[in-house]
Amino acid sequence: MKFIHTADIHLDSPLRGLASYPDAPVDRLRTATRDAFTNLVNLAIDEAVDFMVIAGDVYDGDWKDFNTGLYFIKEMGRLRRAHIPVYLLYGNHDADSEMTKGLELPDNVHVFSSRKGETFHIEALKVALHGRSFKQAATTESLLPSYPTPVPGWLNIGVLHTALEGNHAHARYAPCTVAELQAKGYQYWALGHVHEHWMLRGDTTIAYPGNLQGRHIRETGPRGALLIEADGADITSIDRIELDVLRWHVLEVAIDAAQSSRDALSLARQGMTELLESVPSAIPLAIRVVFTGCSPAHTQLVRDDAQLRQELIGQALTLDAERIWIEKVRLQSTAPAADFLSPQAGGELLADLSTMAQAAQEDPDFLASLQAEWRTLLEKMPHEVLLQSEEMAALRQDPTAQLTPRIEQATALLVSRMAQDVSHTQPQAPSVA
Amino acid sequence: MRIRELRLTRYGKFTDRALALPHAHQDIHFIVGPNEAGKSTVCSAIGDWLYGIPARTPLAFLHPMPELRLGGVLQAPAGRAGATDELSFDRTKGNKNTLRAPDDKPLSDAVLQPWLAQVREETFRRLYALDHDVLVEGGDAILSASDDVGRMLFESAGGLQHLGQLHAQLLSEADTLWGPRKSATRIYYQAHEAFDKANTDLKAATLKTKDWKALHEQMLSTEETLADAKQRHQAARQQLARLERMRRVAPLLAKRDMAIGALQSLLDEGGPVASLPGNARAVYDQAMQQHMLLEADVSRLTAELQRITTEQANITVDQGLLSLRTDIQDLNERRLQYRAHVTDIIRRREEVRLEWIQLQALAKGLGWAIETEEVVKQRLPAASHRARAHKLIKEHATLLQKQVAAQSELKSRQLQLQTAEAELARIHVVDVSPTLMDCLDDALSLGNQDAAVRHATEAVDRLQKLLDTALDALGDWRMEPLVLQKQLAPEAATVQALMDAQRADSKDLASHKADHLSKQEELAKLEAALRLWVNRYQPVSREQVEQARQRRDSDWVTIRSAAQDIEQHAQRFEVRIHEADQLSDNRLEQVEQEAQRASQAEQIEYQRLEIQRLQGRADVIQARMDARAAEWAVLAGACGLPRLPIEMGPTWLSQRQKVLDCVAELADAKNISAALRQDAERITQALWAELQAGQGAWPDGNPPTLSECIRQTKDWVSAAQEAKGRRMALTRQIEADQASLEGLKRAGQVAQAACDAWGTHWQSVLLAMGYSLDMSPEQVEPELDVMTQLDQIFSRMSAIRTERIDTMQADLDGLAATAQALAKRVTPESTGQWTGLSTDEICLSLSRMWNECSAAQQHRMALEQRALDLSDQRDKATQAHLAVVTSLNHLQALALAPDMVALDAAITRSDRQRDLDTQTAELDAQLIAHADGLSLHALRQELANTDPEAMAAEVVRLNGAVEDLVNEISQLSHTHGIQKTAFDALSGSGQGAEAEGRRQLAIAAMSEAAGRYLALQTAQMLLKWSIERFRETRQGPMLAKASGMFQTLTQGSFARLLVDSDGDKPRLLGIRAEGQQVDVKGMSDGTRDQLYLALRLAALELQVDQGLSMPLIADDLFINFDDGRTTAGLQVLSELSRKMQIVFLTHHDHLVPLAQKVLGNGLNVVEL
Repeated sequence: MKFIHTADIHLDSPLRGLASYPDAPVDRLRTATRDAFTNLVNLAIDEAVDFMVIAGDVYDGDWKDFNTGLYFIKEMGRLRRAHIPVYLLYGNHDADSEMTKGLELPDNVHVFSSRKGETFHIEALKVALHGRSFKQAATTESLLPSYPTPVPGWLNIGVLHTALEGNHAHARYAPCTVAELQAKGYQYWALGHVHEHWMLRGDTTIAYPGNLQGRHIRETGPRGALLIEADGADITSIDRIELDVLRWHVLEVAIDAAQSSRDALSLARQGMTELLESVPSAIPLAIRVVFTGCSPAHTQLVRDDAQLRQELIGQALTLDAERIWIEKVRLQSTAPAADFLSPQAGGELLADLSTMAQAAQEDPDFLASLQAEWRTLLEKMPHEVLLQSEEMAALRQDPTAQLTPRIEQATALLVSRMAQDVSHTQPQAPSVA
Repeated sequence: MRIRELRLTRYGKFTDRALALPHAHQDIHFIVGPNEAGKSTVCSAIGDWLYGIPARTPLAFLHPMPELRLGGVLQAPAGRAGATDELSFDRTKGNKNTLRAPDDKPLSDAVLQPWLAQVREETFRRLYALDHDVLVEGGDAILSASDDVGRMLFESAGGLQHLGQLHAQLLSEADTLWGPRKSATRIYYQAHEAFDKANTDLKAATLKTKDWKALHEQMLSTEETLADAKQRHQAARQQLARLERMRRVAPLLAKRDMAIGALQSLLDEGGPVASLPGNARAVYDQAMQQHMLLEADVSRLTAELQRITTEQANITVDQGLLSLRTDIQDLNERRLQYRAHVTDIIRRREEVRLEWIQLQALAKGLGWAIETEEVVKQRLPAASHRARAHKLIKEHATLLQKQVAAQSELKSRQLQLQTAEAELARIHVVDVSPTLMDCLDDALSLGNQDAAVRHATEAVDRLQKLLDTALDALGDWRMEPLVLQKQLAPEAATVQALMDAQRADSKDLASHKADHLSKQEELAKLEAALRLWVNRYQPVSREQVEQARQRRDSDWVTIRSAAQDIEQHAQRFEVRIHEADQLSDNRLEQVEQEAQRASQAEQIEYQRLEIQRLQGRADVIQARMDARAAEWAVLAGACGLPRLPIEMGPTWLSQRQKVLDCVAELADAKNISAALRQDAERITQALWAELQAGQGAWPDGNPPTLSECIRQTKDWVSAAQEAKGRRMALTRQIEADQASLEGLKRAGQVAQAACDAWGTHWQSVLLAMGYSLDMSPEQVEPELDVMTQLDQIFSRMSAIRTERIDTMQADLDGLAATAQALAKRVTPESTGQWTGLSTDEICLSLSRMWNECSAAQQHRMALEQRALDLSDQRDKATQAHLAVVTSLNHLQALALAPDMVALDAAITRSDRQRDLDTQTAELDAQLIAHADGLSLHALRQELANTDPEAMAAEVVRLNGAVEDLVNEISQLSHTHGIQKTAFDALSGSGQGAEAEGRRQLAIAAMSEAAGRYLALQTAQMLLKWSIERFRETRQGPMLAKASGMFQTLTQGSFARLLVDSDGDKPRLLGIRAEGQQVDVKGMSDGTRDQLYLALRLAALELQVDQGLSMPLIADDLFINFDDGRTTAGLQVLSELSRKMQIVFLTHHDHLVPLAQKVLGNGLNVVEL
């Protein structure tokens, strides 16, 4: 007997933070969450599983397009034709979603009641599935007490949408502890809500399959569902099946050994190549390149972030235009302190410039004009952008706190640009007759 | 460097004028004088004194140019070490050696160089000798940064310019990302547009749950209504079908009943009915119709036949006339052919008459009688006579021509003979002697002797000159060529080697001396440094300490040895102790200085040794050179060339060789010249003797030149040869002429005989033609032509008469005879009817008669044919009538009908029975088709229960209901179709999700653009702020100095100077105390002068700080300054004069008290 445990599908939830550029694989990824879900249904049909468990969050809570629900029904219809029953538990997002109430699901889909703990029995397999859907999103009390007692001799599967033991990355909904779950006497806990895969084997196996498709840079690495095999009441194997159609990665490039931006870019290219090799060839990668370490190349990198991004995109395109999407480039590297202040590089002027920039932080007029300039931009920006961009959000919340880091960032930019200029045109000492 | 004194010895208006410029703490000197006092002269005198008086100077108006002279004393600035303190020198006008010591000894320019410290004249006049124009010009140059000072001024702006460019670059980059104004070129707004579009798309694609529900419910409701309507429609249709069936069946049933009734009554009326074929009626009717038609045809044809037979009997035809058809046609054709003959004959006769008139005219011209043709014909001479006359006339001209030609040829030949004989008599022939020819050949073989002699002479002259020049070049050591040839000269190589060795040594010696000198200078420096060191640090040597201790110890020994005098010695001993201790302490303290001193001392010692070594080597070289000089003296003396310097040895030797070569060449040239002259003389004499010996008339005496001799000989020989040739030609010509003269005479006689014979013939012809014998051929010839014309006219007239007129008349006569004959054959009985008729009329009548007879014949033949046809048709009709009657026999037999009337009735009954049977069968079939499966009985039952009128009304009602229902269903189906399509379209489309995806892309793009904009904008603003601070804080030393001076000079009206580096190139701005920026162009003349002065003085002060000091000569620089600023200017100069010498020239007296106020009463004022 085998079944699939999945959760946190978030159908039609968009990929966030990807800025398009020419030749980016945009078209392939517009419907990533749907494609991943289609993969899941294909897997169930191909593997001829006995049933499927969805532990909450089929939809995105604030997503209004009913087409998503219709799509879900169509996919359920495919499972119905393959005689695969589905045990569906609504999570906090589903509770929020209007679709949950409006849809008429096919008869192979069994929805756990939200009023009380409910058990579905599969006589032929001797499987009992216990669960309780969320009635409302903000379900902060534990739902565990309402779960029925296990059926002796059967495989008891608890289906629950929960932030187990206060997982801080996610809202603390339906909290409970591992011990509480273990105490319940079920053989398998099919959990949802936490997007990272996590599992605890033992007499009671507790598992989060993680979400089906990563949607932003905080959801990196492979994503998918769990394929579980059982023999009677014993769980015999649990396989994690990767189903995502786009994978997010943070590529850290340590540039300590690099002497120039060329070297640093070369290191980045090497990193991307290795990444490509480590991932199944069909899956595109959204990569955030983060430069770290300390190197003279930093000064060149910081000079023009747009150009740096373009160069990395260029590399990505040459490596595999279909597979790499450069999400963002972050410079967390530093330059050796005295590097650009050498006399050969016109250091005196640069040193003065640094000092001067330091002094600017103490000129209230300048600081006020800077904040006014920021405000002009922020006021013109749509709300969505402010929500999406962390730096914009930070700037709006507390502009004063941003002054120092921003001025430091600007100073670094100026010094690097200036260093480039003066090293190109050495000043000549005038001679006097 | 400063000027202590300037002497204007002879310069411009000055004579022996000295200006004293003594050094003072503030080294500024006022030279005051009104216009024309010579301020400008003083100004230019300083430059000329230092750098030389230019070749053209306007200052030689009093003293002559070569006598111009300046002088003075230069002084080193205080504290300058290692140089002479003063340099006194004069400057004269000239090309060289213009620098003189006070005792007028020339001085090397090198003496002055260290004082001028590499400042070139041009630089001095531009930077140090300032008048107002130079100041303004220099100021402009500084501001355009076109010179070094300008670059120095803007040096600090170099970095700022970079910053300015970077600032512009950042601004432009930021601008491409975001700006408050929406712009399609900005990246942010491009993304924003995509964002808006995605938003719109998302809205359009989003399907709300309640919308979906509403749609779903609406569709379900429509489906329900539609099903109901369809059901009602079905019921109504069924009802309507039943009523329709009843309506269709009722009339059919009635008809069936009627048919059965009619059949029964038919049988009842006439008993059994014979069953005849279905087409019996048709066959009968057709036969009867044909029967009647054929009967009518037969009677009509019989009547027609009778009429034609009658008509045929009435027609008669004349067969005789018909047989003449060919003759009549032939006659008629001939008549048409000859119709034109009558008029033609008249026209030809007229032609003959006209010819006759022309003939008469011609004959009259000849003077003949012209009454009739016969008369004329008789007068016309016979053709044979006329032909002979023609021939003779032609021959006459040829014969005459031949006779004249023979005579003229004879005459001209006789004349030619006479001329030749006369010329032969005139020719005189002489012979040329062979000796003369030989002499001439000899002379010619010499060629152009004169030119050869001339060239030889020129060569001798040229070589003589070369020899003289070569001898002159021997200089003081000149000798005659003979002496030189005999002289025993040394080898050139030996001399050269000697000289090279001497030169090499001399160079070595010079270099050693130079080294020696520099070492000595080095030594002097080291000694001076050591002295300075010792003076400054007073290091203590060990020896000094030792000496002091010895002195102390010896005093102690003294005290010990003389204890009684301890009081007396103690004091001195204490001093000794103190001295020794002090020295020892000092030595310890100054051990480093002492080490330094020792090291310097060692260096000095080393230098001394080095100098000695150099001196030793120089001495050796000098000795070697002396020995070599002695060797040369011996060599030169041996050649008789005492005092010849060795350097000139090789030159003198090569010059000597040149002399010797010249001498040899000269001798050769002289020999050649003499030989040429002798040859010419000999040949001339020989030629001249031969010429005189010949027959020519040559003058006696000396012969002319050789070439003249040759020319005259050549002329004489060619004349003699020409005469000889001419005589031979004439002799041959005379012989030929005499031979041909006889032949010519004979030809003349023959021609005369031919003429005579012709005359006889001519007279006989004239006689035959009837002319008088004196008629000439010229008279007869035209009349012969007229006679030929008469002949032609006669032949034409005869031709017209016989060939044309006579032929046509014969034709006409023939035609008339034929017509008469034919007419008689046609009407033999009555010939009288033709009399009096013309041939034409007879022909036409005959033709008409024949045509009429032919027509009657044709009509009768047509009638015969028609009668035959009609008879044939009547036979056929009779046969057909019989066949028709026979064809009805079998029907009569079937119907048992005795005649045609009975047959007719039987056929009618049979047809009636068949119709009724068919009708009944058809109705049965229809009833089965419309009964919807019901039996006849059931149908009758159904009809029996229904009221027909009510049924009609019901049908109308039901039809209306069905129509309404159909409309309703159609509308509902349509609505449902739309709803279904719309609903089916909601198939879970991903368009909304895609739009959301695009929205997120746009958001990310906007966020990124905004982030980059913020970074760039922040950097830009920071940079702008920094640039402003830079401007305020970072000024170059020159700008700082100039800034301070400018503030002083403008008395604080301007606070400072600022370099603005924003533009393409930096520019200078004045900043007022209140912060206003003023461009240089916006300053008043005075302020601008003050700016230029500040810039210039700042540059000079910087140079002084760098150790370069030259006096500044300022010529009335304050012309645009008001009193206040003049004071400020003096203050600035006063400050500067602490560092450098300033000579201030002005014509303003009032400046002096002002200057004394500012600079103190000790100010040196020189009045001109």
